[in-house]
Amino acid sequence: MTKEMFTLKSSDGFLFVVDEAVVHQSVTLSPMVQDCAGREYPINNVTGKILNLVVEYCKNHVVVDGGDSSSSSSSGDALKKWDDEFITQMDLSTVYDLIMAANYLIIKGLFDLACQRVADEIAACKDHEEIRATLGIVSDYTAEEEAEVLKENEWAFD
Amino acid sequence: MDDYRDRISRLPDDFLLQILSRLPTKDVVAMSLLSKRWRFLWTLVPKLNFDLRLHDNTCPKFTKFVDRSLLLHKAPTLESLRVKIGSICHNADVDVSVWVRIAVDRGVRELDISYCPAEEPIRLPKCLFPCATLVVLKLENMSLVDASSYVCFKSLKTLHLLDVKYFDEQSLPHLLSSCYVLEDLVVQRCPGDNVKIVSVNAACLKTLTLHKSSQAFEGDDDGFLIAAPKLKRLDIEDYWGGFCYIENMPEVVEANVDVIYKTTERILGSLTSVKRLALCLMTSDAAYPTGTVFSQLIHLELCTCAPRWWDLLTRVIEDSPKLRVLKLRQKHIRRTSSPGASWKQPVSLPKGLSLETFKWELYEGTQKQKEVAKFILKHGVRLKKVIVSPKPSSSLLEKHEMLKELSSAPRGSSTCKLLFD
Repeated sequence: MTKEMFTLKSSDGFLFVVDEAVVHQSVTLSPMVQDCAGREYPINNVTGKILNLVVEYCKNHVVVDGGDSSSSSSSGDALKKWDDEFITQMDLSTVYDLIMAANYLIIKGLFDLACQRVADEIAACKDHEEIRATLGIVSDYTAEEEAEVLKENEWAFD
Repeated sequence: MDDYRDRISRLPDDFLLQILSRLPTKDVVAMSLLSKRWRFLWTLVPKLNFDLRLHDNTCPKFTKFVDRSLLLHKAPTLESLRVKIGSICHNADVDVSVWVRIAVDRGVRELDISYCPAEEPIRLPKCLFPCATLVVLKLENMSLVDASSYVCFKSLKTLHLLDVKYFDEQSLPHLLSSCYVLEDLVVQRCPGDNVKIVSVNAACLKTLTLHKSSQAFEGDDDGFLIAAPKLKRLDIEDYWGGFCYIENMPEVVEANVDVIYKTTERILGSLTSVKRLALCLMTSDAAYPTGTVFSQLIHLELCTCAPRWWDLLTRVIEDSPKLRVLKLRQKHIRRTSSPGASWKQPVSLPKGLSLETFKWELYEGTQKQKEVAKFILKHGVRLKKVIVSPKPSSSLLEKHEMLKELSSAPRGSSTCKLLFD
C-alpha cells in the first residue's frame, strides 16, 4: 500500500515531500491531509532552512509501527539523545526561528525542545552581564535606572 | 548588520515567558537588569520555581525571597509552583502552608513541594484538599493532616507521593478515591506512614509506580491492592515483604516487578498481555499460575541475584512464544545461591527458541551461567546478536577463559554474532 505524500512549500520556494505521519505531528497541518494530497501546500511564515529542520524533527518523531512510544523505554532514551544532539548543534538565532515555526505549525514537542535550549543557555551564564553577551541584548537603562531596578529588587540579589 | 543581535527580544512576550518558565525564579528576577523590556517580565512568568540551595541554604533569605516573589507576582494565572527545600529549615511548616494557600487561591495547576528526606515532614494545610484546579501534585516528605476533610482532586492527572505520612489508614484510600481522572500515580512508602494497605482503584490510570523507600520497614503484612484496568506501565519494587494483588490488566505494555514476596501469582497472572517485562523474584514455582502464557512478551529482563533464577528463566522461556530479546543482569547483591542445584532446561521447543538478541551483563562464567549461555547459543536458531559483558572485576585470564568457552560453544544460528565486551 503506497503512503500518501504531501508537498510543503517554504516561504522562499523550497519544496519538501513528506508523508502523512509527518504532517499529523503539526496540529496546523493535520487538516490538510483531507484535501491537499498531490498539491503544494504553502507555508508562508517559514523559510526553507527552518522547514528543513522541522521536517527532520518530525520524521524522527514518527511513532513506529503501531506500538505506542511507551512500549519501549530504551527507545525513548534514544529519541531523547537524538533531540539533544539535534537542538544543541544549532546556533541561537536558528533556535528562535524554530520556536516561531513550531508555534505557527503547533508542534508542541519541538516548541518545548527549542525553548528549553534557550533556557539552558541562560542557565549556563553566571551573571546578567554574561546573559546579555550570550543573547546579544543591549541594555537601554541609564545608570540611574539600573540602580533603581537594583534597589527595587534588592531582596532578590542578596 | 544587527540581524543576529538581540534577536531574542524580537520574540513576543509569550514566548519569552515560556522560556523563563523553565528557569529558577531567582535567575528570572535577576534578569530584570538586562534591559527595559525585561524589567517586569518576571512578574508575569506563569511558573514559579524556588530552591533553597540557590539562597546558600539560608532559610530566612529563602523565605523572604519566596514571600516577596509571591506578593509581587501578577501573572493572570499561576500555572505552577515548585518549592524545593533540600536541607533542614525550622518553621518551614508555617511558610509552606501560606505559600500553598496562596497557590490554591490563585487556581494553581501544578504543585511540587519537596522537603529534605531526613527531616520531620512538613504538615500541609487542609485548604489543599478541595483544590479542583490541580492537575499535577508532587509531594516529598510531607504529612497530610485530617483524613475527614473534604477532598476533591477532580482535575488531578498526575500524583506523586514520596515519603508522605498520612493521618491514618483511611487517608490514602480516601485521597485516591477522589481522583477520578488520575493517569499517573507514584507512591513511595516510608516507615511510620500509617499505611497498611495501599488500595488503588482507578479507572483511567495509565502508569503506576509503587516503591518502598530504602529505610527499614517493620512487619511484613502490609500490601498493595490494585484495580486499574487501563494500566499501560507498572513498576513495583518492594524489598520488605507483604503482598500485592492486581486485577487483570489487559492493556499493560511494560512492567517491572522487583519484589521479595513468596508468591507473585496475583501480579504476573494479571499481566499476561505484557510486551516488556523486567523481573527480580524470589520464586519461580509461585511466580505465576501454571498454564499462563505471555503471548505478547517480546522483551524480557531477568535479574540473576535470586537463588535458582534459572528455573524462572526456564518457565518464562517456555511460556513466551514470541520472545525476541533476553537480557540477564545481576541487579542486586546475590542472595545465597545453591551451586549444586541442577538446572531443568526448557523443553526443546520444536522450532527452537524465538530469541533474536541475547545480552548478558556482569557475566561471571559460573557453572550455571555457562550452562544457560550455551543452551541459548545452541537452541537460539534465530539468534542474530549475542552480547556478553563480563564483570569488570574479572581478571584478564578469567575473561579470556569466558570468551574461549562461549565462542567455542555450538551455535544453532549461522548468522549469530557473538560480542564479548
